[in-house]
Amino acid sequence: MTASRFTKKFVVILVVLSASLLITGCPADVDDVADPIDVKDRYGGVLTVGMQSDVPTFDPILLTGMLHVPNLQLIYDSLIRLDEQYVLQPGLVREWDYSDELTLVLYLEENVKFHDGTAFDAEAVKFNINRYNSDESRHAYYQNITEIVILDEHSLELHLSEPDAALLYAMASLCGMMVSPAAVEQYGDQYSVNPVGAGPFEFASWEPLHEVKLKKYDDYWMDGLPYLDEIVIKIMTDAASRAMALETGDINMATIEATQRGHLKGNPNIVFSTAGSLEFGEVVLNTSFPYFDNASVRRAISLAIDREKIISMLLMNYAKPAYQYFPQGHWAHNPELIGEHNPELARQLLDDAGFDEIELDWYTSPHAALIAGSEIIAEDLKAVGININVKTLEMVALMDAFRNQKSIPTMFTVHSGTVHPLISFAYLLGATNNPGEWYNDRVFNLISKARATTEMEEQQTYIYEISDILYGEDPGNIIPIWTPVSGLAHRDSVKNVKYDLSMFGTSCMFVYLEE
Amino acid sequence: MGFWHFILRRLLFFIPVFLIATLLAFLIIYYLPGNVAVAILGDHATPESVQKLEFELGLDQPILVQYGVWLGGVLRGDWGNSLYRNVPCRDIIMRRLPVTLELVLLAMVWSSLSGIILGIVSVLRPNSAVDFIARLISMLGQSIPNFVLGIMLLLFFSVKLGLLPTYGFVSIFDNPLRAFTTLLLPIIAAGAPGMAIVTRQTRSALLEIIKEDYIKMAFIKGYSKWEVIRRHALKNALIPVLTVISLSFITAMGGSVIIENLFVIPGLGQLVVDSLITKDFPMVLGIILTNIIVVLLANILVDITYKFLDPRIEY
Repeated sequence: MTASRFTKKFVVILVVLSASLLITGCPADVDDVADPIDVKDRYGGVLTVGMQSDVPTFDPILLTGMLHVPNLQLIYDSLIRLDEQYVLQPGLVREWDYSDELTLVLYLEENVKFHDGTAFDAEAVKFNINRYNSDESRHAYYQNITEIVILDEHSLELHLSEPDAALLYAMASLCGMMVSPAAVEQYGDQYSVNPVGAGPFEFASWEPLHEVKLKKYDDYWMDGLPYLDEIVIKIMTDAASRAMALETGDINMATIEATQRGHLKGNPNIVFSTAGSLEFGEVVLNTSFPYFDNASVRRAISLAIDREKIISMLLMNYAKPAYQYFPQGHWAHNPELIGEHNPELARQLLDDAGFDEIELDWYTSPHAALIAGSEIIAEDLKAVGININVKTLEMVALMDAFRNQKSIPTMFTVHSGTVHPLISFAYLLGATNNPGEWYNDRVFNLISKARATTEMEEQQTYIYEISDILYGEDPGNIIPIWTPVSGLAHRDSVKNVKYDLSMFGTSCMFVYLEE
Repeated sequence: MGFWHFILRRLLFFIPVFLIATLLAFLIIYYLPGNVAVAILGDHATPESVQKLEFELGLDQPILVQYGVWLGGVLRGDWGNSLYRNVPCRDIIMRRLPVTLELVLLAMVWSSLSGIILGIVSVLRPNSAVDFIARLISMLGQSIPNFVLGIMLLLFFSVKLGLLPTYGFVSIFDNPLRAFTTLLLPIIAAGAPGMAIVTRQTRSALLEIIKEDYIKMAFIKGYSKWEVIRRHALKNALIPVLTVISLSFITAMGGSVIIENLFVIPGLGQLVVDSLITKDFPMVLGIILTNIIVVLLANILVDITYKFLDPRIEY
């Protein structure tokens, strides 16, 4: 029983925190428009946030996945920012320019200082890019950068080995976070617990698995910001604890699970985010296993699953059906792709492919929601002649068995999302999630074309086409099921909250507490 | 064999227990699928990146080498760094141990006192309304899981009445008043199962003892029932109760996981859950080592108390 609780907690962490923090497009839940110019005298206050999981490291070269990116953005800021539609906006880089498709020039904000007082300049950016490309780094987003030329104190030129449309997006996420070179030198391998950035909040203290304290950075480069004096992130792994603490006002903001929302919904002092999420629930298939090597079977599975039923029964309607990798509101979401639940067509496809009854092993982690979801899906699939045996493996074991050992055919889980479609494709269709090495000529050609252009409209056209192929003629190794609504909620005393991708990063600097 | 000789043997017993428990835990973590490298890289792990990280963390070394390195470190006083968080294990464990101990010991004080009092009350008036209520409380304490009780207490006292905070930890040594408000509910919830068992044990031990001839003699002498229990029965009845209390201490150390999570108390419970999930073996082994020491010391303390309660006990 204890072991199952452990794993449940772990999945809850994965499922909900990522859901809540990677928030998309819908410009809902904006108390008022964040405007730093007219609000210089706004009161600060201490924002106490209840979250499910703790940051494993404060060093961006060591952090992987999207789960904790927003937390680190508070400390680091990022070279480039994203707006509600995930479109690039200036950050520490005030302007950028492709002088040709293999040369990118970055113009930096001036008068930016790291929290230790050292200057943020072209040398610091070069140091950081080299650090992201070093052996100790866990990222490979800057590998196309072959040379960095410093033009002057606040501008530099990056030479690329090939055109790379995802590069600027990498600068808007983890790899856009700039650490202080002096601090890296000073702390050595202890840097990960002594972070120094140029973001709106300075690191104050960290008690692992309990609390992170950040204090306002007085010399932040954006005038008058941030408003808050302090942010305290409380690690509250229990969903009920977070809900109760938010209800009583012991904390001002929290990630709330779907099951707790109903209870809090009637409370007039609590404001919920209705923004979507980059995350999605997915079935990942190893296409080298029997049946999954057949596109008709994969398509039949996708058609047989009643996504609306799962969303209403399992997620209390705090989610939307997903038929493509990108949520509504995202610039890469293809609005003309309308997915359907069509068991008749699913059965027809299986008949045409010569399959009568199919028996499959279906793996998930022992989280109540994922097991319940598997049972609902089992009914749907049974109706078209696919019988699944639901089996569970604890989360780390599940990932290991599917990705590294390649010993299981399926993984029903939740994907935390990435900021750029090309990064998503690399992750979803690359070695990590594609142990069966599913390959479709057209899809991979379109990905190459999208990567080679810096024009967003052109990329969009290619990505729309990829989504069409992946939903229709040849579903690959990933079948998206749902995309959740953000789980963030706050007390109404917290003002100027704007739930979007960077809520817990750059947008947090606009938040303040009512006096 | 003398008492102190017995205690010394207990202390020496620590060595094999420590070796067997840590090696066993290490083997289990090692042979379960997945490792800390998979946990660190999480969602975005590739077989190559996992392999590279395993090499960096030394997870590619033979199993006995890995355990040997850890053991060698411990013998030199270095418990190693958490593989998942890159922070020294001993520092975190030693910051958290007093928190868990404070929670568990206060819960034990509450469960022992209330259990003994309820037990005595129910024996003073057997089959009366008081006895019925005492037995009912004891049954509820035993049958309601402590996290359910915790949530119920939180909903009533914190959410509904707004009397107590929903989470937090303040040590009684820092601020007794605030400690009372933050720890009251966790202590009640954590101590409820212990309280139930102590009540039942006290009641049955007392009922057994008051049938003894020397108790009958005390009644004949004209003492009241309360006097008889207080002067003659209680001390003897407490020996089995003490055994139950010492066992409930060990259970409470384990049960603190749930209470600490629910009330957001930064103790060892939260840490062990997270370390097991992430397969962070230096941290897990460090916590096991700490627990062995705590349980060993607690057992020695109980032995000394037995000796005090009944000097006739031979070792």
